[in-house]
Amino acid sequence: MPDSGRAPVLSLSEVSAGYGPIQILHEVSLHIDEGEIVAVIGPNGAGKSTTFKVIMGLINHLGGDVVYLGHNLVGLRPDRILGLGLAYVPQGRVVFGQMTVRENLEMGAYLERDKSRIKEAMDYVFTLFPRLGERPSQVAGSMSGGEQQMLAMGRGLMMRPKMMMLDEPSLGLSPRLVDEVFDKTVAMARGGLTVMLVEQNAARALEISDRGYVLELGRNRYQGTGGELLDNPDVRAMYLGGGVRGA
Amino acid sequence: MDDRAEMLGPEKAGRETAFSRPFADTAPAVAPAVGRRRGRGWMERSEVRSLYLLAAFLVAAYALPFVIGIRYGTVRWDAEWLGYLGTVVLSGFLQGGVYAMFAVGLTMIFGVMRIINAAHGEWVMMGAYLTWAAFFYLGVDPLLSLVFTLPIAFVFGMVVQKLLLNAVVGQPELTGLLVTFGLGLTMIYVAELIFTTDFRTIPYAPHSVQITDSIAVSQNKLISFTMALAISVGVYFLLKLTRIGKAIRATALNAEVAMVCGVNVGLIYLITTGIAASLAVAGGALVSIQFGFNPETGIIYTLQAFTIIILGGRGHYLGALIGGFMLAVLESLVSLMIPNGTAMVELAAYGLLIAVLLIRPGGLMGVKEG
Ligand SMILES: Nc1ncnc2c1ncn2[C@@H]1O[C@H](COP(=O)(O)OP(=O)(O)O)[C@@H](O)[C@H]1O
Ligand SMILES: [Mg+2]
Repeated sequence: MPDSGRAPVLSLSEVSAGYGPIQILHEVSLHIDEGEIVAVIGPNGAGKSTTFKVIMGLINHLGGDVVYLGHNLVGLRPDRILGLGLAYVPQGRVVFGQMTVRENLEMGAYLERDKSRIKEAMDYVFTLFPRLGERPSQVAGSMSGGEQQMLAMGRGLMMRPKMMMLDEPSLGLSPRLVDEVFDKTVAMARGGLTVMLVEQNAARALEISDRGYVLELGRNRYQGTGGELLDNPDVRAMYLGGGVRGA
Repeated sequence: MDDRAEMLGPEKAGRETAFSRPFADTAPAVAPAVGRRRGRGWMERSEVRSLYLLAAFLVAAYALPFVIGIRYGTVRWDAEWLGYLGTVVLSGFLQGGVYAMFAVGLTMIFGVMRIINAAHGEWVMMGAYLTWAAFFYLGVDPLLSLVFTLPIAFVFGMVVQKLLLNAVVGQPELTGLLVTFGLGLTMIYVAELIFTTDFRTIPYAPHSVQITDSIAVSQNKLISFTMALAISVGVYFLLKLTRIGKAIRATALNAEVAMVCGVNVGLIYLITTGIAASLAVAGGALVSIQFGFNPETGIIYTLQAFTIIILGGRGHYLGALIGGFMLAVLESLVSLMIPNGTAMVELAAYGLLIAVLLIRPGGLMGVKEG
C-alpha cells in the first residue's frame, strides 16, 4: 500500500454494519488521506452505499472503528458528524424537490448560524456551478437530472466540509454531464476538499482518483492506486469489462 | 429510517395514496427515476382531465343537497329562503377555517412521520374541555385561555411523540393508525371519567351580526374564523420562512437527506407533533364556543379531518385549508336542505370521504395518477 505521507482524514478498521438483523458489511477497512480522491468500486449490492451510511451514522453499526480527524464517529448522530466537517451526498440525485435551489442550499447550511458565512458558501457554490447561480428561485424538482446532481453536490458544500462522500454522482447522466460531474469533482478536490467517491463508472472514477478500493459482498477485495487497479487484470475483467464505460 | 428513504424512492411514485407526498406543490418529491423524465409543464393532459373530473365531482356534491331539498320541498326560492341560504353558507365558510386549522395538524404529522393520527379528533376534544374547565372553574375567557392551553398542548404533543409515536415511526402505516386509535379511545375514557358523558357548552358571544339585510352570523363564528385564519396563516409562514419550518418541510420531503443536512430529525418529530397538538387544541377551543361537546365528539372531528385531507390531496398545506372550506360549506348546505339535516351533517363527511376514495383513491386535488 502506498503511503502518501499525509495524515488520514478518515479511517475505517474492520467495520461491520447492516440493516436491522441483516449484516451487510464484514470487517471493511479503508482510509482516506488529506486532499485525496479515493474511489470505492464494486458490483451492485456490494455494500458501497452501506459503507457511506454507516460512516454517517445512518444505520446499525455492528463493530469496528470509524475515526474521522481523531473523532470516533461510532454512535454519533448525522448532524454531529456533519458538524465535524464530513458531508455526504447520497445516491440518486436526492434534492428537496419542492424547494427552490436557494432553499436547498440553505438546508445544506442548516447548522451554520452566521448569515455572512452562508452567503460566502453560496457564492462559492454558484461559482463552481454557474447554472445553479442562474436560477436560484427554480423549484429543484423541475430541473434536469444533471442540474439536480450539481445541486446535491452544492448542498453538500454549504457547510464548507473538509471531506465529502459522493455516492454515484454520475448515475444515469448523459455522457456530457458525466464529464461535467467528474470535472467538478476534481475541481472541488483542487479547492482542498478530500473526496471519497462511489461509482459504477469504475474506469472514469479510477482515472481521477489517487487510490481506490474494490468491495465485493460487503468485504474488501482489492485496493491500490487508481493506476494499479486500472492495470490489474482481475479488476479489469470484472469491473472495467473490456473498456466499456459505466455499468 | 432507511425504510423511509426507500419508501420515498422513485419506484414508490406510482402508487401513492392521498396521504403521501407531504407539502407537495407540483413536482415529484424525489428526483425522477433514471432515464425517465417527468413532464415539466405544470399541467399535463391527464391533469387537465382530472381537473374536469374534480369540477364535475364538486358540482355533483354541492348539487345533491339542492336536489334532495327540492324533492322534499325544503328549497324555496323566495327572498327569505335565499337569506337563510346565504346565512348558512356563510357560517359554513366561517366554520371551514376552524376545520382547516386542525386538519393541517393531521397533515403535518402524516407528512413528517407517515403516521395517520386517529386520535386527532380527541386532541380537538381535549382542547374543548381544557377551554371549558378554564372557563367554568377559573373564569378565564375562552380566547384568553389559549395563552396557556396552547403551551399545554405543545408539551402534550411532545410527550405523545416521545412515549408513543417514536416507537411507530418507520413502521407500516397500520401500526401507527392502531396505536393512535388506542390513544384516542383512552382519551375518551379519561374524559368520561373526569367530565362524564354530559354535553357541555360555553356561552360566548352568541349575538348575531347583521352582514346584509337578510344574512346574519353569530359573533362567536366570526371570532373563531378570525382566530383560526390568523393561526393558520401564522403556521404557514412558520413553515415557509423560519429555519425550523424549513427543517420540518425538508424532513417531510426526505428524512434521510434532512439528517445529512444536519437536521436533528428526532427534535423535528417532537416539534411537529407539538405544533399539530396545539392546532388541534386551538381548534377545540374555537368549536367549544360554538357547539356543545362531550367526550365522544372527537370522533366526528377525526372523520372531518380525514375527509379534508383526502379532499385537499397529498396532505399539502393549502390543500388542507381549501378542503376545510369545501367540507364545511357542504355540511351547511346539507343541514339547511335535507330534512333532519343536522343529523345528516356527519353523513356529509362520510359520504364525501367514501365518494372521493371510490372515484380517485389518490385524493381529489393535485395527485397525478397513471
Ligand atoms: N434499507 C435496506 N434494508 C435492507 N437491506 C438493504 C437496504 N439497503 C440496501 N440493502 C442491501 O444491502 C446490500 C448492499 O447494498 P448497497 O450498499 O446499497 O450496495 P451498493 O454497493 O450497490 O451501493 C444489498 O444486498 C442491498 O439489498
Ligand atoms: Mg449504492
